[in-house]
Amino acid sequence: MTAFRYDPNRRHFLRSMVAGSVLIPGIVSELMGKDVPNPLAPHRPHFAPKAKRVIFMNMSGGVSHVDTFDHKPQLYKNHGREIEKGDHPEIQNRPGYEKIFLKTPQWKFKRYGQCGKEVSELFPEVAGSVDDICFINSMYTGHSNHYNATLGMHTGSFTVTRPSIGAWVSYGLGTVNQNLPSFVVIAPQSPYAGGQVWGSDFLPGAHQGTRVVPGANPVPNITPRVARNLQELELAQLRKRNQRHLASQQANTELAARMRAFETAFGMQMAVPEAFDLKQESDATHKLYGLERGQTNGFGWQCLAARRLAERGVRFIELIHTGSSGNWDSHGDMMDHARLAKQVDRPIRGLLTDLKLRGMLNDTLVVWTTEFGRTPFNNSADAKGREHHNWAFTTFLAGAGVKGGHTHGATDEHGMRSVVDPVHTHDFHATILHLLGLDHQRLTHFHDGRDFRLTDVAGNVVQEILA
Amino acid sequence: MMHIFLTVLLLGVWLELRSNAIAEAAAVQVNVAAKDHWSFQTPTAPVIPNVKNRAWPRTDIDRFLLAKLEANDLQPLGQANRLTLIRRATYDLTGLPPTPEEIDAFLNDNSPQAFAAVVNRLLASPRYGERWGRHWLDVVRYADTAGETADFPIDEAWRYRNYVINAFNRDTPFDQFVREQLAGDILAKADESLPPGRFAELITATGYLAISRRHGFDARKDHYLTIEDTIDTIGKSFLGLTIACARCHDHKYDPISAKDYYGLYGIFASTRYSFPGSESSPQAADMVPLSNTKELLDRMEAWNKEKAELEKQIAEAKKQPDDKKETAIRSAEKKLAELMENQKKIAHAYGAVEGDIVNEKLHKRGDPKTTGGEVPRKNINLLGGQKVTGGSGRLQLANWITNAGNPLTARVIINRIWLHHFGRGLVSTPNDFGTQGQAPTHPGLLDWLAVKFVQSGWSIKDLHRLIMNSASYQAVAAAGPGQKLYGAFRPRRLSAEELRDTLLALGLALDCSTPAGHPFPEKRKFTQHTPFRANYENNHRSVFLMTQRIQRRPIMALFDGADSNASTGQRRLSNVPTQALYFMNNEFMHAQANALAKRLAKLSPDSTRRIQRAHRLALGRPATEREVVDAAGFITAYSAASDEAKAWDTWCRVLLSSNEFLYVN
Repeated sequence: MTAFRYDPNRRHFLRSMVAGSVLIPGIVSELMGKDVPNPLAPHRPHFAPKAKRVIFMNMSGGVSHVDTFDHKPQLYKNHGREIEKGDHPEIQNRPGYEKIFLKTPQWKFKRYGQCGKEVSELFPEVAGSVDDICFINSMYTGHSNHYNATLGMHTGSFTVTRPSIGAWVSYGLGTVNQNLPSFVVIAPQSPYAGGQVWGSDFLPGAHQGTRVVPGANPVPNITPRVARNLQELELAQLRKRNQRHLASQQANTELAARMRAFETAFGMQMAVPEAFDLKQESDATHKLYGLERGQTNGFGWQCLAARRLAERGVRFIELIHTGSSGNWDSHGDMMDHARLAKQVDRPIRGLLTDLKLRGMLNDTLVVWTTEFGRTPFNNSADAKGREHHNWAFTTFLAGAGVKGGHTHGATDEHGMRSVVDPVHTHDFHATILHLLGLDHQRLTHFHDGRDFRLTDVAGNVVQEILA
Repeated sequence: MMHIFLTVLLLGVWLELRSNAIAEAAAVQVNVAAKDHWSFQTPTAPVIPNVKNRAWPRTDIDRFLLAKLEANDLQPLGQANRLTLIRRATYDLTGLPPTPEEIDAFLNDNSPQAFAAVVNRLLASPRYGERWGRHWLDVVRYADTAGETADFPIDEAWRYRNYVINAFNRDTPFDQFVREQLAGDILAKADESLPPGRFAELITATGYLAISRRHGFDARKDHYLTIEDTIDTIGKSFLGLTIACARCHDHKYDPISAKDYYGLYGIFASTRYSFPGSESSPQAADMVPLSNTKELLDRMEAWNKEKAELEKQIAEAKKQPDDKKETAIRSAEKKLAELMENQKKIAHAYGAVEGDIVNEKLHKRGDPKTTGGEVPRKNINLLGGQKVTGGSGRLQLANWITNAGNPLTARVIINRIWLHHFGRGLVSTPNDFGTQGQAPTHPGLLDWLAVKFVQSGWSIKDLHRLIMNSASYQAVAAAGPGQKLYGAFRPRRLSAEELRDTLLALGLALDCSTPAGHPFPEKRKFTQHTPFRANYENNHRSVFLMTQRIQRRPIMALFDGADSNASTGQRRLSNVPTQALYFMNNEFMHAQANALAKRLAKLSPDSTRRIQRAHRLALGRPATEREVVDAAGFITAYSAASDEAKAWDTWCRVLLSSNEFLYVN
């Protein structure tokens, strides 16, 4: 039996570490016992990774590809032309959609950067970073409903609950900073499909995403209710009690692990608020993200908080913009995209620039996605909005291991279908895992009689985008 | 905002990968061999093994376990002390701690039957059904919402929840419990002499089927996925089989074909499930009346006619010119609302009844749009393959499942009971007895229990007695890998429900009455943009808390509550720092500790008495002298830094955060 003995130095060490300034990665293995398997202990990937962490930006509601990053000159030209309905899932048997017509984008595109990527007026800031970005213009997905497509983009399953990609990454790699969760989701509102988006399902609960709501108390139960000196008295008394109890028990590693969890939690009380305390950031940095000093909301806040979490070793950080309502679902009027793009354009550029300045873009993978695109057509030539479109959409990756200034795949002349090198969400997931050094076919978990994986029985790494 | 009609799953894309002919040929071979798999053979009562140590065994269970120990040159574990035993038994059977009075009564009972008496007392407590009903609700992925895009709340789901709790409390024979859940409506309608209460209960039991997960924007359209969920849950919950694997292709490992799947599918396609409402049609429908008096049935029929008429009127009014339309629609809608209101006054269940009888065509690769030949409704071949002879076939299916010759049903439920007593099943994969599951550690014991269980009338309470009166159950707890061999009690963390209920009980706040439904909003305007979301707090036992499908209650997510989307055979318990943060900083946790401190303060001004009482309440044992001194020292020191009331609050929190409190030994 390996009895757990409290080492006073360890706590001292922990405390000085937390009080001291900051960047904790690397030290943490020290905190982990050898006797108890810690589900969040860092694991080696299957092969040498390019990315050590992911910042996953999820634009909720369905961003129109033809109005943003997928320039379709023919769509402007052929505006109002009636086209074949085909078997588009959104308009089959839908009253009022007996005929459909191409609808022109309302924004102009310009070429940017050395690569000459065409970006619309909606994203003038992101346009400035195109040489660092790898666009995938040929995405397609398995469902045209928000709920299902959002679930698919996160879990690889369009119907039933499965572990989220962040949970899979946490399961596959663990995390280097035990004072922060391995998987953090910053979401001002709940997304489509709710907490399933960050659930761990059949993977151990330690891998579920911790949802952070921007504001004063971002993480539940993190704020002490008593003064620090009193809490120390309390925890010392608890430790004494637990130690005595442990000595009377047969070998039971869980008990020692739980004692250690209190030590870690004590540290988290400082490490978590510290991570979200943007006061320490310079005016210049605030400006980079388009953030006012003292502001604790908005996508700029989410992006800057993400950079701080990434710096502190959080493995997978998801930023949701915005949630299941008031989002990119512009059925009524595409002009609403202008409002939404303005909220995220500067912060995304700020994040990419900031990561690059700090040398973090080399080992951080930034993902920008949405659940599906929007139809290049509507049921009348002057319809203002666009409908859900799972046949084609655009995502982008930037940073660790991906080609900058590159565009992969293409849609047809009107942006209807992904026709050149189509990329399914399963392929997208396989590629993200690959960049993290994980083989999507080997990252499995045995459950209910079989091995499960994020990519189900599909998925191919998109080799062409790898740097 | 406009919203849209649901769509096809592009299953074909990934399923293409499965069509490898070689792989399929290999799978067929596996299936043939798989028929010899241990769990597919009908259990026969094995001979009780001879053991060298004659003194230790108390029951035949012990002889089976001891034989294996002796074969491995191991000694059995000694008897746990009485304090440990009563805490273990009380948590196991009721999910609550023993009271100091209950402990004293046991300590003072010198009869050799003292422990057996405790077990009987606990089995007779209504708290028993609340704990064991919860285990079953895990298996049937119970929730109060439907799980489709807007997660519609289900007003009447609670009736099934309470039915399950009652069934355990009344020790409904398990085979009957199975039949009621699958075919309660058929049983109810077959017997005109049933008392009204019993009729209602049988109807309610079919909530087992209705609580299947709903999918999509228009949940009626995606009903094939709901039927898959029903079949998946039936396979896992009753048979320990992953039948739903055969939706897209013959099972790769077990002898279950796609035809087996669609043979079952027809049974549920011929069943009408209550409809919870969903985005495209928010009105709940097809709820099942809990009464069958002629008067009610006549009234129902009249209502349905009137409803159809009003709906027709509304549809026609909508076609009229604008100026006339408004008043016509409004008047018809008002009448319709009144009618629905009246209908609501009749008690209904969220359940299932016989529908239009159909056979299903095989869905090629699971895609309902690409169908093959019609598959007659039938039993799976593994269990006999008999054809349905009339109606949906649910009652026949229930009878096949509970047939004494079925090799799986008894073993699977026995293993579940064993699992919750010992922390580990004899088969460690409780939902999978197929070839991919684990083999039993003690196959003879499992079979012996199965035969005995069926012979004695499928009584779960008898099974508890059989297990708990064994020397093995009463032995000191064993952790670590050896536990597998011992079959001894494994120290376990309190579940989320036990933790919350205990905290409430110690603070004298636990409300042990049995609630009905939840205060769901009247208006059902939920969408995927603004899905239903609520978190009704109350002081009832946790089994009664409202459970959603797309949203988890924080305490359940944190302390590993069951998944409400898929059958949970065994919860996987985690141990993470965010749980420690809960004990340190959570508002509810602080409030309950403070309530315990107040309770102690009322008891006596004397510290020692308070400390003693607190130990007995929270840990089920008196404090040692050293602990009393220690606690008093802490109170003094903390009071000096803060104040005395806070010192007691804090000390209570320490007690309720301790490992000894959180673990059952």
